[in-house]
This record gives sequence, C-alpha cells and structure tokens, in this order.
Amino acid sequence: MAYVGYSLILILLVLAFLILGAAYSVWLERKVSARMQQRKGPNRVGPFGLLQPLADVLKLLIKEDIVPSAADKPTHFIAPVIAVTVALITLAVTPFAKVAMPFTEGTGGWLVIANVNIGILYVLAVTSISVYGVTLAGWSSNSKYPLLGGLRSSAQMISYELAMGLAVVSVVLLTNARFSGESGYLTPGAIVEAQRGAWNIFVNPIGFFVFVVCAFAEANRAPFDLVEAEQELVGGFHTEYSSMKFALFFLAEYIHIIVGSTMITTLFLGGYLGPFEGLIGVAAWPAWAQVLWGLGWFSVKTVFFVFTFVWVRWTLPRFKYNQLMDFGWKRFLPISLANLMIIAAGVALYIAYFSGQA
Amino acid sequence: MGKVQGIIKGNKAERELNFSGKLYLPEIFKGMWFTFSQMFRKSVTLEYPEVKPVMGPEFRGRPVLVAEEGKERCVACGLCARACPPLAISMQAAEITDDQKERYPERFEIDMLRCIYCGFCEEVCPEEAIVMSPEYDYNFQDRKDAIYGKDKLVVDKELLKPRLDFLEDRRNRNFGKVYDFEESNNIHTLRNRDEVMKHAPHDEEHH
Repeated sequence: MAYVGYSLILILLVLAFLILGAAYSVWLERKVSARMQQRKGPNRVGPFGLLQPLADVLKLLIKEDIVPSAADKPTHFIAPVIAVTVALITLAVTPFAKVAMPFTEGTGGWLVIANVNIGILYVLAVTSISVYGVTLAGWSSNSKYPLLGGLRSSAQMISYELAMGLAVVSVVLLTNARFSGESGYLTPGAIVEAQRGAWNIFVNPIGFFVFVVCAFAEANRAPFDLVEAEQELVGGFHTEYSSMKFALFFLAEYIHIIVGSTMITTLFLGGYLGPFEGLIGVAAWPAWAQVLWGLGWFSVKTVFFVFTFVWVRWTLPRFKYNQLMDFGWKRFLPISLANLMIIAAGVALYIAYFSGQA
Repeated sequence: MGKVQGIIKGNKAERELNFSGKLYLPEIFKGMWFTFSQMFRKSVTLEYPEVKPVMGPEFRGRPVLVAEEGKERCVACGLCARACPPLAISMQAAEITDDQKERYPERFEIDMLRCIYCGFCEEVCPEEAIVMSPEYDYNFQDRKDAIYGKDKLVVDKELLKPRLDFLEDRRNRNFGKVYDFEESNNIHTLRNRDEVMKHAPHDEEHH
C-alpha cells in the first residue's frame, strides 16, 4: 500500500510540473522567438515577463465559451479533454531517476509512477490516441477549416507513427542486446539502463533523427504544423474553440512538446544518466544526491529538447502537404526500416559472438 | 535517379534541390545556426511609452504656427485653409495697425481629428508661418478638445529650428534640376492653364 501512496504523491508532482512546465514552455517559446527576431518578448508582467503565463490563463478563464450552434456538443466538449488527458498520462512510465530508496522499492528501483513491463508499447498506444482529440475537435465543430485540420492531423499522425514505431523498435533491439537472456526490454527504465556507457544517440544516430523528426510531427509542431496552419486554416482544428477549451488544446500542445522531449531523452539520450557516471562514482553517493543527479540530468536534457522544439519552429517554414506525405512514406519509412535491419543484424552478430562468451 | 518532382510530373513550380538540399539536414542545420546566432544580437525594440523616439526634421508631425518674438508670423491669407485636403484648418483674419504685416489671424483652428499630416499647408504658406512639428504624441478625450486653437498651435521659432532649416535646405530643391524653370513650363499656375498645357514640352524631352 505504501507503494500506492508514493505513486499518488509522484503523480501529483508530475501533473503539477507538467502543467507548470507547459505554461512556462509558452513563455520560453515567446521569449526565444522574440530573441531570434531581435525583439524583447513579454516583459510587462513580472520580472522578465515570468508571470505572463498566469495572466494568459486568467484571461482565458474569464473569456466567454462559445460553442457553435451546429456543433456536435458532447464531442465538442470531450475533444479537448481527450487531448489533455492523453498528453498528461504519457509520462506515467517515464523513469526520472534510479536509486534504492523506500519509495522506489515497488518500481524496481526507478523513480517512476508505474513500472510497466510493456512501458514503451504503452507510450506508443497512448500517443496514437492523441490523434482522437484533434480529429474529433475538427469533426465536431461542424465547420470547414477545423474539419480540414482534423483530417490533416489524422493522416499526418498515422504516417509518421510508422517511422516512429520502427525507430523505437531499433532502440528496443539495442536494449535486447545489452540484457540478452533477460526479460523486460520494453520497460523504459531498462532502456535507460541499457544506455550506461553509450547513449543510443551515438549507437543509433539515424534512429535518433527519425524519432526526433517524428516527435515533431506527432506534436503537430512546425515544420509539420499543417494541422493548425494559421495562414491556410485559420487555426485548424481549434478554430471553433474559445475560452478554457481552447486553453486545453494549447496546454495539450505544449505538454506534447514536453512529453516528446522526455521520450527523446529516455530513448536516445540516456534519460537520467549523466555523462561519465562510472568515472565520478555516482553509485557510491548518498541516495538523495543520486536522485538529484538523475533528476537534474533528466531535466537538463528535456529542457534542451523543449528549446529545440521552439528553435526549429522559428527556423523552418512549414512543409507543403505533398512534401509532408512524401517525407513520411517515401523517405522516413524506408530509412527507418533500413536502419532497423542494420541494427538487427548488428545485434544478432553481437549476441552470437560476444554475449555467448561472456 | 530521376529529379525530385511534386505531385504533377514536370511541374516547373516545384523547385529542384541540389544534393545538400535533398539531404535536408545540412541545410536545416545551416538555418538553425543562423537563428541561434540571431539570439545574441541586440534587440531593436523601443519600449514605446517609456522610450520615445525623437523624430528628425523630415518628420511631419502636428502642424504648428511659427512665432517670432511672441507673435505668430501668420498673415491670415487663408492659403493653408484652401490647400487643406480634409478642410481641417479654419481661421478668422483681423487687422492690426501698429505692425508692418497689417493682418493677423484672430482665430486659427486646426481640427486634429481631420488633419492627415500631408504637409500641404506648410508647402503652400508664403510666410513659412505654418510648419509640421516633430511632435506626434498627443491625445484628446473629446471631439471638442481635438480642435486646436492658437493657444496650442503657436510655437516659438527656436523650437522649430531643425524643421525650418530643413525646409530652407530642401524646399524647391528639385525645381531647377528636373525642369528648365521657365514661366512657360510652370503648369501649376492657374492663369491660362489650358494654354500653358498646350505649349508645355513633355517631361521626357527634358531628362
């Protein structure tokens, strides 16, 4: 029962950090984009505009909530809820640190909400559901632009999920090579542990690039933001949303960015692992220091990728729709597949020649 | 390998990419390096209400009446009111006996809601008595307050020196250069306008 209690506390903490993080990602985005255009960005509310997210939320809360009269009202109501819920629950299986402490006993030593042995499949499944939030929003608005946005989103997400899935499989294979003969390769924790010594970005750089690009596409971010393309679709799926419902979509988008960053970190950048852990002798440190070390590195990498998301958005123009589909099916899928084949062959050789003797 | 094409084969609208363009990544990193380097440049933002840009002499702000030794130069000829496209200027002339100029505007009003800052009044003024000031930051709460009388319009000559110097330097500067400035070329006079137009040489011949 103690495990459940710790989990609940962790859930609350993670939720709070995600929502606050999403709010401050908006601030980061506005600040970084301003700097990239030699502007100053928000600087009126609080020091450096740090209270701007709070002001934005307050504004959105007190705005009138308009529902189109022709909308499918229950679906219109539930779509933003799906979007946010799905975005939030993805982080349930991400390990934040590994340490032997009372509250990590139930989770195999990882500081994680739920140590699910099919964790990575869970992540893939949940991100697939996120397309429902956008598509249902587009459909239920009963309006032209949202419908187009919703359709684009479903086509785009399905296209990029394939390449993304294959990139994840290549990571799982590498984990398999590391722990050959054991079970539980699909646990994100195990995937991170398998990167002790060599992060997957160095072992599997092509998979890393494919996964990063697909994460951008899954988060509906530029250069893949055809779903909400302001210039063409007046905002896409959320055109007919206002007030807090719109805010929920906004929140979901930024939570997707954070979650995408944590996934990139976990799968390819060694999650909570810092560099040269063996040399520094982190394993001998007191437990609290290990937790801070792990959390610190995890946050640093995640924040870096959130920054990268913003950075890319303010650098690259949007793809055209034919380019998007070209890219997904004719480039990424073959590249990802070939990469998987090469890694599979490499892993087979490794297991045959090295693991057998060890 | 064939050329990269869009949906329509042979569509010339689709740009052909070179090798590094087809690889995408080198070009993307180039762009990302550029945006990153921009982040450390100085911000060009002026935080307006706190920092007000000072306008140069070429700026056409609100029109004002030039005052010399406490008296406006204006002789109330009414040309500015006549030239004013939105009819923003109105005035009432009065006689003055103990002054060389004999006439002065008893009332002079500019409706600042009408003014379009075209500067025609300044161009047309024979006395250089009405000029465009560099002032742009003013407001009113009421339509009545928008009608500026002499109390607000009269400004001392010294304060308007940059603009007056600018006008002296630039006014009519192009006349001698573009045209042979002869009376027969002056199509702007109202007298015998049609007659002059008939004989006026075309611009092309003079360039």
